[in-house]
Amino acid sequence: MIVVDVRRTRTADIADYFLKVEPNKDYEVLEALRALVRDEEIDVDQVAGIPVKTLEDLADIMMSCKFGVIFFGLGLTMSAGKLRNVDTAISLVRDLNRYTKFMIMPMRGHFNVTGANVVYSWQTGYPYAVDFSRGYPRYNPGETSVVDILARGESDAGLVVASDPVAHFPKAAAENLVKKPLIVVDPEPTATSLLADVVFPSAFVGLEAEGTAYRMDHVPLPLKKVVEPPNGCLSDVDVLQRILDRVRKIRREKVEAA
Amino acid sequence: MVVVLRPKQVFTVPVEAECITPDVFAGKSVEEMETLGVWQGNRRCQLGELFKVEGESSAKSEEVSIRMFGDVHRVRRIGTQMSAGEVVVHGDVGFHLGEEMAGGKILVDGNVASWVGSMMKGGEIEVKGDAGDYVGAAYRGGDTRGMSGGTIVIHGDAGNELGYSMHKGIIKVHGDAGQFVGVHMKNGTIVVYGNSAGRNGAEMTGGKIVVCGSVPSILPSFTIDTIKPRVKINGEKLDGPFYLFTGDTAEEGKGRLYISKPSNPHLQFYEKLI
Amino acid sequence: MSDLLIKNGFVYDPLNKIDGEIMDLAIRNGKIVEKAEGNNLKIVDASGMIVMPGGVDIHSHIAGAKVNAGRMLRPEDHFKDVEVKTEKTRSGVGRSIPSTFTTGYRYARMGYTTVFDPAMPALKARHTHEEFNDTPIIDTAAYPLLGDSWFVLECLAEDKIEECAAYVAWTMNATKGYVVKVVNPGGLEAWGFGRNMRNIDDTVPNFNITPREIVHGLCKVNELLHMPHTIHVHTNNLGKPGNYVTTLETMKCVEDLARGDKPVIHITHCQFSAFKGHDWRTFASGSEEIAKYMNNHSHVTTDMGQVIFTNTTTMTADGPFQFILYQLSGNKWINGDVETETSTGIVPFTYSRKSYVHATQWSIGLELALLIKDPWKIYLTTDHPNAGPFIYYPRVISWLTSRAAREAVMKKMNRRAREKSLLSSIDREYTFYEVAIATRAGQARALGLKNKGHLGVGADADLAIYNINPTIVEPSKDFKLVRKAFKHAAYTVKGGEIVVKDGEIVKSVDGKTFWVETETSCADEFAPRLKQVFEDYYTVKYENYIVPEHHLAVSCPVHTKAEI
Repeated sequence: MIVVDVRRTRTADIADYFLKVEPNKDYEVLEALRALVRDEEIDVDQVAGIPVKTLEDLADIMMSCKFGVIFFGLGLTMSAGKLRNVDTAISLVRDLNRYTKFMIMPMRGHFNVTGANVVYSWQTGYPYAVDFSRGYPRYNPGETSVVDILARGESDAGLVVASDPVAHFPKAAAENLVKKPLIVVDPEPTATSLLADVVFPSAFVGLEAEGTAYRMDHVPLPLKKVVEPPNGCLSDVDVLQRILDRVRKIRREKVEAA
Repeated sequence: MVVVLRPKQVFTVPVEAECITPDVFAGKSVEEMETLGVWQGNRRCQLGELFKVEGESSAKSEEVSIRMFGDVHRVRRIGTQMSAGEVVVHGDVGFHLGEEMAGGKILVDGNVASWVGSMMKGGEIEVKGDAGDYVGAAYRGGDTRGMSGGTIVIHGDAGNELGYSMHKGIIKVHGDAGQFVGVHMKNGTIVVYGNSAGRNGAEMTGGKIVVCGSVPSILPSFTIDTIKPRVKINGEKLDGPFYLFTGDTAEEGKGRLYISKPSNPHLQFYEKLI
Repeated sequence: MSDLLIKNGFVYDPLNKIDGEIMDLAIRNGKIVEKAEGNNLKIVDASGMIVMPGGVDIHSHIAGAKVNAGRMLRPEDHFKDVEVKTEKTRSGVGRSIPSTFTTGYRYARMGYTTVFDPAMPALKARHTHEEFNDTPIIDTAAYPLLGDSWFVLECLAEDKIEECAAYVAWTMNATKGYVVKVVNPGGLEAWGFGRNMRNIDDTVPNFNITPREIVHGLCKVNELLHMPHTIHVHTNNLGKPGNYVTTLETMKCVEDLARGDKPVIHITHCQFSAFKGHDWRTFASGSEEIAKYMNNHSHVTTDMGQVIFTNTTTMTADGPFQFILYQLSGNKWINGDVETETSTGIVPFTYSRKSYVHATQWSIGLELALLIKDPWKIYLTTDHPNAGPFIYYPRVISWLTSRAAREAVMKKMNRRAREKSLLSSIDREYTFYEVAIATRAGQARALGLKNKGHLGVGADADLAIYNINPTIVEPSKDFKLVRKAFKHAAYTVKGGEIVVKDGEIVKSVDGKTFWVETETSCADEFAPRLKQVFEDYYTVKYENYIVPEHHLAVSCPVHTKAEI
């Protein structure tokens, strides 16, 4: 096991090798590895604080193993370069498959985030940041992603389900979210629910309601209902269905009135 | 003939108005232009509800000049697929200006948001102020082409991923540029007269990038080739000397990266490899 | 639901030997009946139009983990082809990997009402069914991938056919599957280590078994279980020059299991398995040899896998083949391994009419359909989306019914491919009767769907009405009219309800999901052994692997009684 990180972690402690990379230089390391896997010479002596000799050894280990996997997490997706870091990591894996079997897998945080991506994809064609404003799905992160819409102050209402953007989004985005009417559906109190105009406490999935969660390798797993939820507490599906029914009724009445 | 558009209100949600092009306006009366469809947030409405439309259009799109005044920084997709004529925006303007443009000219006397000239095929875009990210870029997914013809000139600064997946044409930035200039570039030319935030030419396979100012470093997958006294861009001579790097070797690329020697003394160590 | 009377249409119902007769069809409670009546009897005037059973697609990748990964991979595939929401329909995106709602609507618009997904990793069955639940109108089913399952390989290596059958039966019940699917037998297991099978007598690494034994064994299992369809085989060496030999060997290896005229094996998307030559330079069509064999044997059925000249997305469980395609094209690529069961690969691809290989592939698909004499043996597919998106079926129909339509394409394609193509020597043109076999009756019969693909009394009232008058239109000459008519059905009726009128969705209904409920006498004694397998091999518990019936929006079990 080889761990690459900006600091020594507990995983690094049990790894065979640990490479400490300078912050925000992941892209350079991955590009150097790609060049080395393609038998290219590198002009510099070290990349992101790692000697090129070490990177050559790393490339050799990757090329000569029988079956390798790159796991990556938020450290790669949220440091400088963002999507491009993942872009080039995927390309590295493709290149390695000329020599051996290699895979890449994101380590997802937050319970069923994979499930959300999976369902969005089959219903709309896109995994997240889906914009329905024109009556069909559109996708363009940066333009249609929630955090950017909020940062630009372009929304006039918000509905948050089982998520806590106030705790996690940049300050400007969180401020714009709470400034406008905000509805939260969540089984637990969160920073967002505390600042919401309307809160629907929902049943815990896998405890008080059944459902499906997707493992981060996209294997679906059933979640069982073990106990009854508190009286009057609905599952998030039921809450959303009732809101939808109500919206449709109001719309119908408006059309009829007109 | 000139058509003048002024917003009737302060827009708080995005407005999408791909109908604002000389091609669509050509041959239409003011009343007809006012009934063109636009989107305000998730509501479909008419151009005339959001904009005061004045002036007169022409029968031929190449003779139509559209002038926009007032705050249109939330108005997106102006000039989409335009093939002729002129659009002049006095002020800041929103996303996707001149997307898939094929001809004509767009002039912005202000700043422009991201995706200006994305997937552009021809024509000219000039921005007096700054530009956002993805100037002349492709759509997501890697299989679409970025800019494949025409010229974009930014007089101020530009954001990240300038010229992403560019196939042809010229982009000039007179100010500074962000990271990933010409990422996945296949061909064409990008000139940054100011500084760049680095990672220039990442995963490029062809084309030419010139940076006259400073760069923090060169990607390790680029190789030093030589030092050139000057570089020529469409007849314009830029005096160097420039370090010439080739790459991206991670993609077996043949792209050329010209980086000013005087502005980058920290790259001097490459000279011993020439 | 009111009764429906379809009046005066030219009816093509090959399973009941009806060839363009003007007839009335009566519908009640979702079934074809002798007579329709009642106060609010609805009448559809089909005079001057063709009436056929609803289209049936035996092989189309429309749902599940792999299709969904393709959607995620390719935003650029969807962003210019959208379905805007209406009062009746939900929005979505389209082209080669449409979202689920779009898939249902677009098939229904072409008059198709039954579409089966041919590649379900059993471990991810729940996902496939969740997508089916969101796929409107069309009836669905999924084929679990079994040819490289460790349990199957272990049983067959030790010649434990009955134990293997017990496992397959359990898998059908557990995953709500319909067909035994075999993809590059042994090759997917080998791909776990970056290797592949080179011929049907290669030994699978770590298992003492060959592809031949896998196919033969599963074919026997299929018979023991009385499955409605034969085993459904994607051959070894698919997509490689010279592979027609492997295909013929695969067909031959189950000859001994043939009983009478009943087919025992389906070779799918045959075009990809009918290549001659030693490499891409000497690449050529092997359609004549395949057709000759099929014309002399009745134990094999097949489908076309017709190439369309367009950009599309290739996706199969055949991981090693997709890797080759990635290397050939240099396009982006997804590879996936499903623990102990199967693999997967996805690569975007453009078939160009100017390419010798692609143009020859286009030719091979049509050669097969025209050289195999019996239309009950070969069905119309594009292996959606591998050889092209399903929305191009009307085009394929026009190529089958019109020599002129074929020549119009050949004029514009690669010269060397044109000169070598057998098509210029083939005059055959499908009749509407034969089109009805290739696009519904034959596929329904092959799938063992008793109430589909025909319009006899008792059949499901799924039908398509196309605005084309067979007494006026000559499909041979007016191929553009044929194309137009099959693209937008004048009416599609699903389960007795009008869902499409003039090519637009007027009502959305839920489709059913078919699965095989196999009764064995050994299920109870087998369960503990299987639970142990899950403990030893899987990261998922035995109980969590099973998709409960209530998870299917409209469950439609097909009951069989096994000989074990």
